[in-house]
Amino acid sequence: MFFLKRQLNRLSKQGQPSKAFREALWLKLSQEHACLYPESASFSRSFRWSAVLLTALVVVFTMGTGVYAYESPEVVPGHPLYVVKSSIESLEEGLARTPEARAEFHSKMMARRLSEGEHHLLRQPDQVGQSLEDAADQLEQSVEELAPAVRDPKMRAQVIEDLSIHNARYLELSARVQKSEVQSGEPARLRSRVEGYGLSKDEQGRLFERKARASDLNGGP
Amino acid sequence: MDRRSFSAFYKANLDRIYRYVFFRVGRNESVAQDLVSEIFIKALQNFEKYDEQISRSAWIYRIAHNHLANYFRDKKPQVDLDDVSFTLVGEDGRRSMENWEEHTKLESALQRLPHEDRRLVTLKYIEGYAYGEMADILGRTADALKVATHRAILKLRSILKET
Repeated sequence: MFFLKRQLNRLSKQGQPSKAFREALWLKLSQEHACLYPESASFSRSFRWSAVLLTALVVVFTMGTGVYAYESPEVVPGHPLYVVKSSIESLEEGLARTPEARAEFHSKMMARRLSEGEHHLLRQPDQVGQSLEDAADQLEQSVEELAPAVRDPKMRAQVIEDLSIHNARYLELSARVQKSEVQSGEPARLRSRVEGYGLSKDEQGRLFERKARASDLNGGP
Repeated sequence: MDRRSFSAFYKANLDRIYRYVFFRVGRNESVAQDLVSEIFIKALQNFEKYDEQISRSAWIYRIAHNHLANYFRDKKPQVDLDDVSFTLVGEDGRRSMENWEEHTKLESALQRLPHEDRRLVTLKYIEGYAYGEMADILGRTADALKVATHRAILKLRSILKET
């Protein structure tokens, strides 16, 4: 029985779409999406600007507290000041007008979600998974902004360098909450998040070239 | 329309729909790519009608099935999709299998399975659907499908033993 299932599995793998096709189709669908829903981007932008105005007011009234809330990794979901932190982040997102700025913004947000996860690790380890998920979302959004739209090679390299550092941090944190890599499948999951956005092979390689430190994976100091 | 939810939908379904098409068009890669592209464009155009809570994978599976049926109808009038299902030999005559004999046996055994059993085996083991998703597609319970698929695998094994 096992042998038969293995044969079927081998057969199944022969019907795998190529990476080139996968990426080409996603590009085609993105173009089709832009034709079908030209208003969706502008809608989200106008919505974003009204959010900017609103959050600007909030920030003015809560300046001192706001700085603390924004800077501190201790301000995590559930903390009374988390609303202020989220508002300032929304403001920052609204101000990121170019694809370059948005790619950098999401990279920065990935780092912030990881800091929150590291804070959770000591106090509420069951919350780390959510922080990791949020960090992975930010990675995907950063690559989504970067891959098709940012042309400047220096800028691309810089964002990829930053993201690769965050990825290594992600893997470290993930390894601390998961029993083994086999169980979590995190590296593969993280990779699958950025597939299909049109990063070159070299860029994808650089994105994941940093590995989590062995000492951390082994639970060392 | 939320681009991010379409992106998640695309990632979850591309491989399975590709396999569904690929093995039914004689493993012809370029035909499969054209058809799969058309299927996903159709899905994108109608994505606002899609409700993940209701149909999960069944919706795109239905689009793929109808699209493939239209393709065969245009190609050869009055063809039954079940008659052409799961052809393992390439249209160009190429065989790229590592173990030709082993897969030839598997191919002929699959063709000898009753249509419903073949459908269960291919859905589960070739296209990679979970029982819950198969339940959505076939309109049966996951438990019943688990039992039926197990029986289909037993039948397939016994056919393979006979040959």
